[in-house]
Order: sequence, then C-alpha cells, then structure tokens
Amino acid sequence: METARVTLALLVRSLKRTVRRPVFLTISLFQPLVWLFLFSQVMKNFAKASIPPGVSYVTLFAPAVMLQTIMFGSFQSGMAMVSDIEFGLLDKFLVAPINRTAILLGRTLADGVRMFIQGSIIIALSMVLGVRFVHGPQGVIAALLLAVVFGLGLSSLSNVVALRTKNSETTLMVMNFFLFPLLFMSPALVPRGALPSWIDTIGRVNPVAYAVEGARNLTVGIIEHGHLQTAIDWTELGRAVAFLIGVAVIGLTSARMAFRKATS
Amino acid sequence: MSGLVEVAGLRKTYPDGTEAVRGIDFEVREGEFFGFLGPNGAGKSTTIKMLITLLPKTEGSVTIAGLTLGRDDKKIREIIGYASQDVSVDEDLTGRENLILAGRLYHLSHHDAVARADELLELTGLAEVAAKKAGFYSGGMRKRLDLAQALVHRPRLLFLDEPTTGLDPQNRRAMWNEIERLNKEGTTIFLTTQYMEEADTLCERLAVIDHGTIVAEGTPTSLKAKLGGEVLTLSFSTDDPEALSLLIKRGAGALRALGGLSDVREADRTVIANISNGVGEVLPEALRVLEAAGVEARIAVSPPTLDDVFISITGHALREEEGKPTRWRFGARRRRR
Repeated sequence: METARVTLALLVRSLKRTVRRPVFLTISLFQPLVWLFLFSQVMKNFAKASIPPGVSYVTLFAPAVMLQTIMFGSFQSGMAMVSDIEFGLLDKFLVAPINRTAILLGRTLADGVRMFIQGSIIIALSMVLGVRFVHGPQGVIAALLLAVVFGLGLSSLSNVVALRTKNSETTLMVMNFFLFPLLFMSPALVPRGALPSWIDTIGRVNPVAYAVEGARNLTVGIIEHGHLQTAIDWTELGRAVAFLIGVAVIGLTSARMAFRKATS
Repeated sequence: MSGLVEVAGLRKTYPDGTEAVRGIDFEVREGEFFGFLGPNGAGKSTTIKMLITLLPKTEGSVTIAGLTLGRDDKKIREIIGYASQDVSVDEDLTGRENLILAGRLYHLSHHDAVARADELLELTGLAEVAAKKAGFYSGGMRKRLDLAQALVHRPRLLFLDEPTTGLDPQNRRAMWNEIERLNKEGTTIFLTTQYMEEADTLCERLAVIDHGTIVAEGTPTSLKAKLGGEVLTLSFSTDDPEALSLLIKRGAGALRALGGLSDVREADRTVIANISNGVGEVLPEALRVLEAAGVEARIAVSPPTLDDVFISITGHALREEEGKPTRWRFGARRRRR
C-alpha cells in the first residue's frame, strides 16, 4: 500500500515534468502533424502502386504515425532518468525509506500514460483528416494498448542505456540507431507488397513490423493479396501480441536489472 | 560506546583500484554538531555516501542508532536526512511541489505532506515563491529548498555535504544560523566542509580527513591546543613600502634572535611567529629586542586557527590541495545554471 502511494506520487511527478516543458510539448505534438500532413503527401505517389484503388494512403499511414509517435517518444524516459541522475534527484529518492522498485515503476507507468495520451491525440487528428477506424473505439483502444506495450519495452531499453551511460545524448543516439532501420524495414511507410522480399522476411523478427501491422489490423485493416482486408486476422494479431509482450518483458526485466546494478 | 554513529575500519576501494577511504574510525554522539573536515578529494563525500546507504562499503562496520549499515538500510533511511553538495531540486516542480513530493517519499499522507511543506516554506523564507518553479530560484533559494527537503521527516541525524559551498557570505551566514538552530532543537548534525572557519564556528567536534585517513580528531579548541602556544603578530603603521619592508626585515631579524619563538615568517604587511614558551616570558623580551632594534610595531598575540592546525598536521594548506576529484557514483554534472 505504501509502495503504491509512493509509486503514484512519482508517477504524477514524472507527468508534471513532461507537461511543464512547453517547447518540448509543442514539438512532440507538431512532429506527428508533420508526419501526417507532409509525409503522407510526399509518400502517397510512391506507395500508390501497391495500394488498392479506393484506399487512401493517410488511412493506412495513420496507425503507423500513432506508433511512430509512441516509439520515438519512448526515449524521453531514459533521458529523464539521466537528468534525475545529473540533478541528484535519483540520490534523493534512493535515500528515502521507500521500496526502490517504486522509482522505476512510477516512471514506467507515467511513460504508459503519456504514450496512451500521445497516441490518442494522433488518432483524433486522423479522424479529422477523414480516416475511418472500422472496428470502432474498442479497436482503437486495443491498438493504442498494443502500441503502448511496445513503447514500454522501448522506454525500458532507453532506461537501460541511460543507466549504463549516464548520458542523454548517447541514449538518444543508441535508440535512434536501432529504431530508424527497424522502422524503414517495416510496412509502416509503404505496404508490405512494396517491400523487397528479403526485408519482408526480416520482418518476421522486426517488432516494429508486428506493432504496425497489429495496430492496422485493429483499426483500418491490412492489405493482403492486393486487397484491403478489414476483418481482423486473429492469428496474425495473436502473433503480434505475443511478440510485443515478449519485447516488453525483455525490456522491463533488463531495465530492472540495470537499475539494481546502478543503485547498489 | 554509545555513539549515534559508530564507524570502525571503514574502507572504500573503487573498482578501478582507487582507495578513497582507507580504514577510518570515529563516532558521532547524539545531539552533537560533528564536522568532517578535509580538502577536495580527501574522501569526505565517499564517506558520507556510504553512511547514507548510497554507496556500498568495501570493508568495516557502521552502526547508526544501533542499526547495522548494510543490513538495516531501510530503517536507517527513516531516521536520516541528507542534503547534497549539489542542490537536488526538481526544476520543473514548484518549491511547494518539491516539498510535498519529499513528504510523500517519507510516507506522510497527502494532507500531512502539504501541511509540512507549508511549514517548511515559512521556516526557510520561501513562502512567497512557493508557487514558482524551482528552476527560477536563485542559488541561495535552491539551497534552502534543498535543506527543507531533507528536513521534511524531522530526521534525527542530518547529513550535510558542504552545505555552504558556492554561497555568498550573506547566504552562508543564514545557512549557518539555520543549521545551528536545528542542532539546538536536538538534531544531530554531520557536516562535511572544506572551510576552516565554518568548522571552527559551528562544530563541537571534528575529524580531519586527508588522503582517505583520519589525521586528527577532537574539539576545535583541543586541536588548536595540540599545536601548542599561540601566535604572535607584528604589524606596522607606515604605508611607505620601503619603510615597511625595512621594518619587516628588522622586526623578523630581532625576533629570530629570541628564544621562545619558532617559525618566524615575513608576510606581506606583518611578521608572524609561533610562541613555543609562555606568552608572559616571551612578550616582554620581544618588546625589548624590538625597541633595541628601533622597530616601532603593534604586537598582537592570538590563538592559532584551524588552518594552522591543518598545515602542521598534513604539511599542506587545506584549500590549495590539488586532490583527485571525488568519485561520484552518479556524476555530478550540471546542465543548467
């Protein structure tokens, strides 16, 4: 009970920090807008060949933007960890008679809340742009949760890098180094049919591919054999859920280990 | 022994082989104002970090209020407060929110945490800026907020790691008053400092650490008494540089010829000597030889300062020491301000 209260206090504190940085907040809202408006304009002609007629690029692209926003926002967690170390705040928490798990747990839960809100904003913007989510609010919420599960895996890994390097630039660079290739080797920006076959094969172990196809599956449908398939493919979805939960568990466990190592 | 803090054979060797603390013993008594004095890199911060459960010790035993460090760490954390050398406040939170969070970390209910925060804001004179983000606070205000955070649970034992480093004289004095008041109210204080004046004014008892070893321990008075006698200082009324240097030379020469004085030094505007025999015998003799040499001077006799003590023990001055930087478990890099 005590631990739950401390966790909540630390969660609220993490969220306040995010909200109170105006520049940061503005950019993290505008970035997805840029993706949605500009990028979809640029990409739609390239992707045209592999999109069935009558399906808009923005529709396919919207769940991917939601996912990207969560993915690339996940490193804020590790960077905040570095800042807490630098400012001696972590020491302050460690000197307090609390269950130390609450420190990491509070941060992780705050990450989850933040990601869910960020994702919801993108969904709302997409609806303004005319994207139709065929499986209704349940589908959208399920897709958001799926993206958040993946995001928590990533934010945990950013904490691992942060605790090892104690440097926010390095944390940012390491995470980008891995995420950009994974993004471009996934069907996030172009439909699977347009990807070279070897990349599509690699996609079987690419978490971003699972996350983006899973999110599409639950919201706008996926393209299969040149047609937009709007019925949920439960086998594919089950695989995606299992794979992403696996990523999250690995991330959370290694973050916990790294945290213990750094604080004992 | 009945110390609140009892340290025996405490040692810290970092993985890279640096021996930051090389087997130290001391005790801090309940209610005491204890000073841990030493130059940068002497092992002060490493010691404090071990005592507050942030850094595992390599060897030795420590008990705090009868609790064993390394075994009862969580219980130890309940009774200690800690303010670090570098202020640790959350710049995105207001002063009040920082204190409420601190209260929550010490398991106060939300209601109690708010009440305690307001009380501490009043006490530290931060009530007016309580609703401002701590990022906008001045250096002195941050220090006060940081200290207030360490007091939120009314700790029995308060660790202060160089609390006045980087403060201007006015804020330093205010901080001293604040800490002294806490000590009078019954809080045991463990203070590290590299300022002699601070240790001399505030501390009842001192341990002097240099290169990871305790080189002296005792009250400021007893440490100074160990040096023996007092210090004799000649000063001159002339402003003319040539006349002054002549007077200094002659004055020093006359004193050097005298028994009962040692280590006669020529300073910029004064001549200083240690009195090794009784003041009563030396002083008339000094007056006589100075008059005979035609040196007109004011003579002052004063007790030695802790600076003199430190130099005599270690052979080097406290603040000039080019020690290795203290190792921090978490780097103390600052990004803003």
